[in-house]
Amino acid sequence: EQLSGSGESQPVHIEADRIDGHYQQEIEATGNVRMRRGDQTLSADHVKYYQDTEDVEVKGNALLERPDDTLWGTFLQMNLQTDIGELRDPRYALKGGNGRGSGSLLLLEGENQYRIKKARYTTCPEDNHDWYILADDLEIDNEKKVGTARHASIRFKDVPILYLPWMNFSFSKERKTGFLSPIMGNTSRSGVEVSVPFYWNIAPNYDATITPRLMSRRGVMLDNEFRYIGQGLGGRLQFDYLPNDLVTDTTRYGLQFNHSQFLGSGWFGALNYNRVSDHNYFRDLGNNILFTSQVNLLQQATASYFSELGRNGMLTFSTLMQQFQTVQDPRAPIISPFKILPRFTLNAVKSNVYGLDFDLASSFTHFSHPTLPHGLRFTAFPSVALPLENSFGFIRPRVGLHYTKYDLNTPAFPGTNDKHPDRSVPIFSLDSGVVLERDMTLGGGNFIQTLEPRVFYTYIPYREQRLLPNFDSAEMDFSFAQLFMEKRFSGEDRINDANEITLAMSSRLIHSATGNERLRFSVGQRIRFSDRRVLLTSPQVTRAGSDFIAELSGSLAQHVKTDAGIQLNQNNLLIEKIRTGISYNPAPGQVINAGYRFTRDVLEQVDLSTQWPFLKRWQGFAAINYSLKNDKLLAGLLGLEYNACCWSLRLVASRFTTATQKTSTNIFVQLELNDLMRIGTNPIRVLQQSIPGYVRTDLQ
Amino acid sequence: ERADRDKPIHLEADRATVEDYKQKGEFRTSIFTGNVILTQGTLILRADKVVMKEDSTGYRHATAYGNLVSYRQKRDGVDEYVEAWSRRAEYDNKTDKIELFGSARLKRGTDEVEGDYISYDIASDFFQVFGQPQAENDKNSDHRVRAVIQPKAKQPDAETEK
Amino acid sequence: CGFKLRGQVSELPFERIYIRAPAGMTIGSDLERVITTHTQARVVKKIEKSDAVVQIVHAIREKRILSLSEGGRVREFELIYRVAARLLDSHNTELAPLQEIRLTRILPYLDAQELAKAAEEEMLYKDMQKDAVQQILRQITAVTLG
Repeated sequence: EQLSGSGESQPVHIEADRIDGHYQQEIEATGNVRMRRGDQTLSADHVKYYQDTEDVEVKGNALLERPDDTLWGTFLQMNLQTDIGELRDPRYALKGGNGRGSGSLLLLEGENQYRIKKARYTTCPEDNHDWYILADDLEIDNEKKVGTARHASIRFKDVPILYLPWMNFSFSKERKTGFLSPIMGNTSRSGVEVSVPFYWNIAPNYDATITPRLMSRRGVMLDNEFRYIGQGLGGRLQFDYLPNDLVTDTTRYGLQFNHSQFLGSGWFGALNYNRVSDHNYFRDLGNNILFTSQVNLLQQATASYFSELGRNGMLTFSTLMQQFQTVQDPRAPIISPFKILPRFTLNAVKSNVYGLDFDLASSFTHFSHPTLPHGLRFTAFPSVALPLENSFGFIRPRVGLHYTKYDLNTPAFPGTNDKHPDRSVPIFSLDSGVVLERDMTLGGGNFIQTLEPRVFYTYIPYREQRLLPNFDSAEMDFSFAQLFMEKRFSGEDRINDANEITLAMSSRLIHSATGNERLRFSVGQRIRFSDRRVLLTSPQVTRAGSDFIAELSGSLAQHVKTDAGIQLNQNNLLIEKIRTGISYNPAPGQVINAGYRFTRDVLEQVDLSTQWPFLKRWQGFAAINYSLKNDKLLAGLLGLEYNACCWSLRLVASRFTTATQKTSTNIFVQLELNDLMRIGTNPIRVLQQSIPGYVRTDLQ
Repeated sequence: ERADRDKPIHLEADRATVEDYKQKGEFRTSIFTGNVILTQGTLILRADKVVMKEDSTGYRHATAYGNLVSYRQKRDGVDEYVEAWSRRAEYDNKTDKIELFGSARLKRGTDEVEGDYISYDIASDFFQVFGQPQAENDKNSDHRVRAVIQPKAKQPDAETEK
Repeated sequence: CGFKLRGQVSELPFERIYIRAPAGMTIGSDLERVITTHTQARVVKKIEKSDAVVQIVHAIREKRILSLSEGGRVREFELIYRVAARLLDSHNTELAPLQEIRLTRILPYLDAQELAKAAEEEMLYKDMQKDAVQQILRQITAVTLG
């Protein structure tokens, strides 16, 4: 049962070398006295206990042991019932976190509450004084596990590094309302920055963080994040507001709102709305590549329904309202994407109906655009397949009819006056494959090696489509995923003609005991019996000639993983694309990644990144993303971290391109006082983004 | 109670030997042995052997031995008893003080003290407990003194018996 | 060289399987189709009737910037798909822990082709889901009871 000492009165057990006293009045115990009352135990050289008032006077090596903390002192005078009293020359240790400290005087102010004058607080172990808070007045609330300091200065190696008139900190992992540690930084675009986030734990299922952000060059900005979670729903709203930007003399804001919710009986709704005040908002005020690299800000609402369709069938229906705010880079403007207001999609799959698999993909979309021709589009692509499987292989013919109808506001191109073009094209494919296996042992483990030859033939007759609008079609990247697909263009506006066969072979190494795929090597080639007539040039995708592909992915050896692929042009054996990546990750916190990527006429880049510990307490970070094509460093990062037993210091410099000829250089300096606060800007997110496999190691 | 001191003392025992006090200086000594029971008003003392000394003015000094002498007396004006146990007990009605030697235990109402030696002044209710090596102590006495003090019933009426 | 034909139908150490997948995700029915077509086991709709439960613990889609253009625009995303499954008996005790499957695909990206790239992204995730379901099947066939 609840054994809190105060509350109702409790029997007192005393043990000492000598006890004398008047019955029912006072008891005096001397000689290494131990006194226990409820869940509090007291030991000292000399204790005087007044039975009627339950006051106690303790002299000489007083030690008070309680469920939440331990207090030491020279003289203690308190009332055991009300927990009010004072302790001279106090030292204290909290059992919640590993907070401890000392002071000139400790005032016990009721159950679980006390205040320390001229207090020192640290989470460093006993003999370590690397950092501590020095406060005129430190209030400890052991129930809410919150400490509140007034006139506090934080000393690091005895050097005062921060003065705060008022601060509070939580010494337990629970979410506590209160100021979080201040964030300081310096960027070329907004000068010196200081922000002091305030976390407000409104209720168990929603909270808010309000961060006033003071920037020397731009003025005061207010970043607000509001999060909520409920029965089958949740969401987050981020609204950052800068009333008057001193540089541009304008009001600037950034809004990000996403919400998702199960609407019941198979329905699921989601909202994702992003909006900023002006084109340079992220470049001026954001310091994260995730934002500065965004051009199209999504503004979308979806509601989707998903349900079984009989024995082994599936039906998905979804509605979509989507548009984008295009944040242009003046030197490289683009046409903003079509708005989809709305789109209905109906997909159904029903397999094994008298041995046949049926599939339907259909959509009805209303595209709109301020300048380009737009209108309605209906598409339907029913298909049926006959899966023939037996013990050693499968053959799967499939035939479908892709039908599209447009209803445009103006003709798609000047040359025609047809506002209702349509197109229907049959699509035929034949997929077949065999799986061969053999057992083998490799490096002591036994594996199954598979050999999976596969042949895939596609025939799609040519349809004239030059006069059709193009809302959402582009050539897809030639990859192993795309090798066994009939369509070469994404979206529905272009259906490629095809008379091609794909020959492929892949071999997997599977660990027999666990079934985990250790390594996979695949090679494939597409042979065209006729030239492709439907073309959709996309600057980024290799020309029609590239047909040979080889890929290797998995672990080459213990701790060594690789992902490599090459594409050759069938005619001139010219390399069209190379993607190689290798990572060595012997232990958490030790990782080296290297990658080389080449796409003819598009990009050629090398990236290297590492997190490596050295000299027992140090850690180094480095990441570069170097473009060989433009002979330019696109993103770079260098960092160091020192982990002492109760604090860590992180120094990270990161530089990335925000726009043509514009880069952003950010210096992150962060001192983390364990379980108390982080001072400076937090580089953890940048490290996570730039170094695949980065793991925070100071948490152990 | 205080009134006990004026009450007559009754003594039962298996055997009693009385010696005239003229020979022993000023004291008349009487020795009682064999489950001795001494009563005086509300005071009851049980022991294996009691040595009683009386002087001419009537003051008495009793020393009781036993494998745990037991002593019990009612408190003045309160429906509460004082009880005590020890290997040897000495009671002096001139000083109205009782001394307990060897695995001594004193119980007052719900409070209890134990130690190697206890001295209890009945009139002023003052007690002292020491952890000193005594001849009577058994080997495993750790010479520590212990007390258990029950919470004082603040509101006698409201306080239900826990 | 020792290769022999592996039948399309693999042996599972249980007959009736119940699939528990997070709501609103299609991976559950993909796994159901693969189990019914590639194993001799049957997928049942009620957990009480099953003698094994395949639970999809999580199927998480992540997206990471892989390379940037000279102007700081994204040129390649790395799409990551992580699926973790567990094999339990019908009293919810774990028969075998299955290792998380982590698959990646590269999506070349152009801001001007936003809609088309979104469709291609969906296609790549579907392809990874098909791949993951095959690997889960391999994992549960490798589980030998007892």
